[in-house]
Amino acid sequence: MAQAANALVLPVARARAPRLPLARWLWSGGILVALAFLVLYPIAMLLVGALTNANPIVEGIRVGDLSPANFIAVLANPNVHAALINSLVVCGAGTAVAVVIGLTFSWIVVRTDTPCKTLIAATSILPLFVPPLVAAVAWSILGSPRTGLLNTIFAGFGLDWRVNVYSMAGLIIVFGMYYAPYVYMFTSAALRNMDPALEEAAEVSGANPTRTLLTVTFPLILPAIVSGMLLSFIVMLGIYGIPAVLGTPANIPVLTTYIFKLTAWSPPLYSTAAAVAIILMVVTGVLVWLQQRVLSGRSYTTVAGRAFRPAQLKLGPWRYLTLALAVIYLLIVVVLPTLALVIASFRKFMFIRDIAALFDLRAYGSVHYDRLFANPLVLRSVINTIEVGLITAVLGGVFAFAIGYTVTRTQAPARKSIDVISTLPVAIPGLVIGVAYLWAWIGLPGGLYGTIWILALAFIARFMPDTIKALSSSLMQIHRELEEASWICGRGLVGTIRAIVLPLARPGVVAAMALLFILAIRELGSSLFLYTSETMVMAVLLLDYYEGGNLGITAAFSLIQTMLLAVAIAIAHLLSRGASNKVGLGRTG
Amino acid sequence: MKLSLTRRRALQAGGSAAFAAFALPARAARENPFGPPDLIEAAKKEGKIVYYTANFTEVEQEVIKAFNKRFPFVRIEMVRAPGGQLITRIKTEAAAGKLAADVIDHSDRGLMLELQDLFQDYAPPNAADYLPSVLVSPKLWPRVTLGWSIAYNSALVKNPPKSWLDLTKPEYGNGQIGQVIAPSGGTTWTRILFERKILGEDYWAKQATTKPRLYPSGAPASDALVRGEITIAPLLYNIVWTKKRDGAPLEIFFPPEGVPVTPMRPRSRRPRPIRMPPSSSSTGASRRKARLS
Repeated sequence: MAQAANALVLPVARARAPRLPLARWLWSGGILVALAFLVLYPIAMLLVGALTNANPIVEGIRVGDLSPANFIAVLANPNVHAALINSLVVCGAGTAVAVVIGLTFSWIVVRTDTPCKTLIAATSILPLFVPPLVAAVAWSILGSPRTGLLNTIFAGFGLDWRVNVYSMAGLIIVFGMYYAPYVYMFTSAALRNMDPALEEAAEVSGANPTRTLLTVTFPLILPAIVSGMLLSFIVMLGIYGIPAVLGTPANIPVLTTYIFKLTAWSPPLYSTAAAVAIILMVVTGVLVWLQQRVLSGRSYTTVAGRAFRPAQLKLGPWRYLTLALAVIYLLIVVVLPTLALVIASFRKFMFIRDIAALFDLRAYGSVHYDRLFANPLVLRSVINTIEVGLITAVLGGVFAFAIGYTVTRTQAPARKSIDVISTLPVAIPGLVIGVAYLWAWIGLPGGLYGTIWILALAFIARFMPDTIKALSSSLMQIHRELEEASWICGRGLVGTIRAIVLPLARPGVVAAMALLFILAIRELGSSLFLYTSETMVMAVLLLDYYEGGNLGITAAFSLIQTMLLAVAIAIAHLLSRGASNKVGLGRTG
Repeated sequence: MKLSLTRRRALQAGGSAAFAAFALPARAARENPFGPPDLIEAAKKEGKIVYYTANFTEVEQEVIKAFNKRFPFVRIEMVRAPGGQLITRIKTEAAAGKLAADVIDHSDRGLMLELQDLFQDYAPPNAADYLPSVLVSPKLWPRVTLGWSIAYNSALVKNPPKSWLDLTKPEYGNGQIGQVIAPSGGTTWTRILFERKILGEDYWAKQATTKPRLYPSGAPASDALVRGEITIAPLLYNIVWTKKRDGAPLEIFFPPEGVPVTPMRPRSRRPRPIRMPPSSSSTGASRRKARLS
């Protein structure tokens, strides 16, 4: 049927963009050069670092020094084994939790008549925008086994319950809660696009709703579940903040915390860190490849092309239970952690002996905020963060549009290579690539190092796959006929993009830029080696405060960063209202 | 770029002043505790120091505040990073000819000695007060004397330990004790070697039986102590003292077996505040100083 439809439009589809072979080669060549600079060169530096025992800038690169010895030593190191196993267990189980939460909420939002669905939908996405370090600090305040606020409150009420987030289970649940949105976004879209006729057929055949859900609905959206699952796993694998805060007190090292430790030790073990990073990249790379395969299979399982409205299950009084589930999730993931940060930021010391001490107003004051605002670096970091976020959003948005358009809409040469190279950064955690950016770009002429621009370049490179993904979906929604009509009417390629593609794709472009802005505000890993005194950004300063051991100031600064993110999200929401694509396939470091 | 060129020019002018500062006898230093007037004037013209430190932001902000009370015309731009990351940054920047730091503060003497060619000879006005054995290079100067103490949360510990060896007792087991790991930095290596040399080869093994909680550095360990996450911890006195001063439920003591310290100036006649030498401000990119804390 679909093939027949294609055959009908063929004569029109023969219209082609104006043919300028040299220009097309120059265009593709230009993009490839930019990608080589932004992606391949830093990765090559990282590989050199892993295969030698030297800093490639300090000692130079000598081919004779390259040896797998360092890499083999890392592979044989029992500490690396322990970190790798912990990473796989924590992220694997965390993904399972994320699937349960994400799938439940996507089903509630799309397929049931639960009240307040807009609120539930927003709640399901919200945790994505909480920086991992902030979430972890908040949960350490709430769920530490000895001094956690929740435990103090339980004890105050004579309850024998205890929460311990400094544990494998704690790590898994916190990961699961904060990365469930990835599963939600994939599965809710799939559920929305699914033809209800299949479920109706099951019901007509006598299957009850639960059986229909388990035997028809979920199997049909399995590719979406798997791709959401893989993405959340990949993202968790690259996260530093959560295992650093919650895993370290329980002596649970994961690959990212192990890498960070190697770089921070005195003396630093960079080549070892780079080799461990390569392991992380390989694991992530395999998963990305799997995800791509699953995504490419998606079109076989979801039915599209006809207008329909997914059937909604009438839950009756049970709809209040589903609403309650959403409210509890909101409470656990957003309200309680924010409250914990507020308490910690206003309390002079976070020693709370019992529940009465929690309400002792003499223990509260604005001392942490006073100290925070007395530090000139704070204001500077806020300004720098906004500045670097804006540059990243604009330049990254334009570059991603160029790549997305080239890959999805043109016959330009080397399209496949451009696609593959621009996807590579998804497999490299920020913490790992940070030092590679430094090695790769510090020697560039023109004084790039030490400016905001080098940070922006790193963010553009790191988040390119996310931006392109967000953009491509909106580009794909514009039917080719519209461009072809423009070409037939004599407009050139650039004119067509300006007059037809850009106006139609605008909501998607704005959403992608907003996503880039938000991701840039949160990004820690790749900033660590590129900032200088004048280009300090908020994420780095937050880590400084956390490492400096003052929980009160850390909490106060976390709240400021969260507020800035909330404002950014609100503006992004306003700007991209009406955009059909999803904001937020973001990764973090 | 322009800025660093300007600084290099200022440096050429300041070279002789630096030598003069080095040559000043102790008596002259007391008369001009911050260096000769022409040096201070040069600092005023330059107006800025880029300062790299492995110490904690908050502690350094206090030092900068004190420095700026005396020298409000010199802006301090600080880059703070953990020891290992800071060394990598310094090495990479220097190799690329883009080392931005004017003064570097790092706790690992061994690592800094490897980099000493990056720095210029320098001597603070009170150079004669320093213990000769701590002066490992005319380019590297000890900055502060840090000593290890044992601190405990007085609201939670009813029977506090009284010595280093007490920390190996089973009654303080099960994660009550917090320990900063050895590769955290130079001061921690000092404590670790003290434990082996003075408390015995088997001290580490005995300590491990108490299953201490490990921390990457002293600051988060001191915060955990205040919160009651851990109840006892060997910590640098300067980290815990400020918390006790501000009202945290802490007690601190120096154990009888000895105190691991990084000595600096035993000949000093009276206690003096830690200060950044003003002469450094008039120097610049190629006249960097490293300080060991």
